This record gives sequence, structure tokens and C-alpha cells, in this order.
Amino acid sequence: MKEENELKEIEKEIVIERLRQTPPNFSISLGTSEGKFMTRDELIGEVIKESEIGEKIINIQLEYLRAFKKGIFCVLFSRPKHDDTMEYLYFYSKELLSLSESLGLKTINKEKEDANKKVVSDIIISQKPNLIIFNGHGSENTICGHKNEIIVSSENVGLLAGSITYALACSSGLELGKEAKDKGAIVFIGYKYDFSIGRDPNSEASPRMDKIAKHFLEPSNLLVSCLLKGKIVKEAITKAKEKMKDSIGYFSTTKDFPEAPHYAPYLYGNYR
Amino acid sequence: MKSLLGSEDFFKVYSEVPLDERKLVIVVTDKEPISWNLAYQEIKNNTKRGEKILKILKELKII
Repeated sequence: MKEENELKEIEKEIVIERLRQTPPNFSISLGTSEGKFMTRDELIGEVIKESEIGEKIINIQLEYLRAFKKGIFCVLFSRPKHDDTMEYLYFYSKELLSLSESLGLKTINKEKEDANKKVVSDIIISQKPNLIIFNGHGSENTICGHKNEIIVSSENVGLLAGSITYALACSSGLELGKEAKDKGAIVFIGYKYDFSIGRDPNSEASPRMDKIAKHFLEPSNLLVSCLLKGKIVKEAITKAKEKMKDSIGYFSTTKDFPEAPHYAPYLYGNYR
Repeated sequence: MKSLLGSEDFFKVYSEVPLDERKLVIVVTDKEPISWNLAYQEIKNNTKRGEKILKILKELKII
């Protein structure tokens, strides 16, 4: 068994090598860096001299590496499919499931009738997913699942503590989002108003063929894919909003189909 | 061929590691940085280095 200071040296070596793999333009502000952003080389310097910041970086990196043992990167999807709108969300979230799996993340998919309160709550309690994606109808205080059964409401919002939650559900960003934060959720991303989806009348209600719905749902997928790839929440939201803005611009100006400008206000409603 | 002691623990943790992270350094042996992927190969092939890697990862409580 190695001495404590010997282990410390090994930890230091590992962290320095990991920092060397970081792109040179990487910069980060830590709580102890007095509001200053530090570059990769500055971070390496701090680790080498074992300063307070250096110790902090070693701890952050090692805790991260130890986290895999606990199977920490777990993503839960709740995907009802009981009506036309849910069918669209169900279809679009398929690619997110594949992405999550291809990134090697532990991916739990509860779909159709399994997207219910008991199954989803039990999974959240037992698996403690880091990221929870809800498709569903919703309101200021609720997120629903299969056949509109309420999965999360004010009474059990504490379930979301310690997780990042994205609710593709109407209005849940208003009250429920705040309550989730108060009860310990790391982040709650939701919509303040109704989430709208336009539908192409020529698509025969097939999400795959729908040229209008994609403008409503791709920004949402972009947001989730950024989160799955480990981007920070702010960046994920910014990218999704930029994509929405592009689509609003497209609807407002395109001559591809005459009803296009009429979709723009609804997409703007999602954007707000 | 008998597998290295602790290799099962490594494989279990490795399966939880995202693909991009697997390219990053997990351990340094004899001044050489070893990624998760390289560690996997060494451990899978029962090498001396694989043995060393497992010992360090155990001591650091990574596996």
C-alpha cells in the first residue's frame, strides 16, 4: 500500500496530464480564483505548485474520475405516445436516445404506458439520473406522462433534487421549475408558456415527413444533444434559441409555402 | 488465461465512461500517461503494465 504523499504525487501527475490534453484556449473560473478566468497553462502551474487552487483542481478531477464507479452519468427519458402531439415528441426523441447510447451514457428509456408516475418516480429514486428528459403535457405546476397522468407536481418535485431536468411540456418552466430549484434541482429547463408544434398538412400526420414540425422540434433536440455531450446548460439553451430564431426568420420570410408566416408567432411563443 | 485481479472492477467502471472521456488520461505509469482506452487494452491482454494500472486505480479508489 502506498503512503499518502506518494498517492498525492500520483494524483498530481494524472491531473497534470489530463490538463495537458485540454485545448490551449480552455479557460475556467473557479470559486477560489477570485473571479478570474484561468487558462490551461495557469491551471497546470497551480497544480504543480500545489496552491489552494491547485489542490482544488486535483480534487475536482479525482472526484470526477471516481464518479464513474457510481455509474453517475445516467440519463432518463420519459416518452409517452398516447396522442398526436406526444407521437411527434416520441418520434423526435428517438434520435436523442440513440445519441445518448452512442455516447456511452447509461440510458434509461421509459416510453408509452411505462411513462407513468410509479415507474418514472421509482427509477429517479433508485438510479438518481443526472439528466431527466420529460416529454409530456404540462402546466405551471405539473409534468404529465402516459394518458396525462401527472408524474411531477408540487407534491413530489423534490424527486428532481440533484438532477438536471428538461421538460418538453407546456408552462412547467413557470412555477414547477422554481419549486424544483428550491427543492435542490441542479437545473430545471422548461417552457414558460405553451409549447407549440406546427404540423404540415401534407405529411399525413407522419412526423418523419413533416417539414414544419421539424422547425419546432429540432431546437429542442439541439438543446438536449448539447446537454448529452456535456455542454454547459447556458450554452445548450443559447444554441437552441439561436436555432429557433433562424426558424422564426425562415417562417417569416419564406415563399416555400403560403401559410409559413402564420407559424412564426407560435414558434416565437416557444422562444420566449 | 487467467484475468488480472481487479480487472472485472475496471471493466464495470469502464462501461460507464463516456466515449470521449475514454480518450483522456486515467493514470500515469513510469512517466507515461495512459488513457482509459489504453488501460483497457493492457488489462484485457493481462500485461504487467495492466497489473500496475489496476493497482494504482484501486489505490486511488477509481475502481
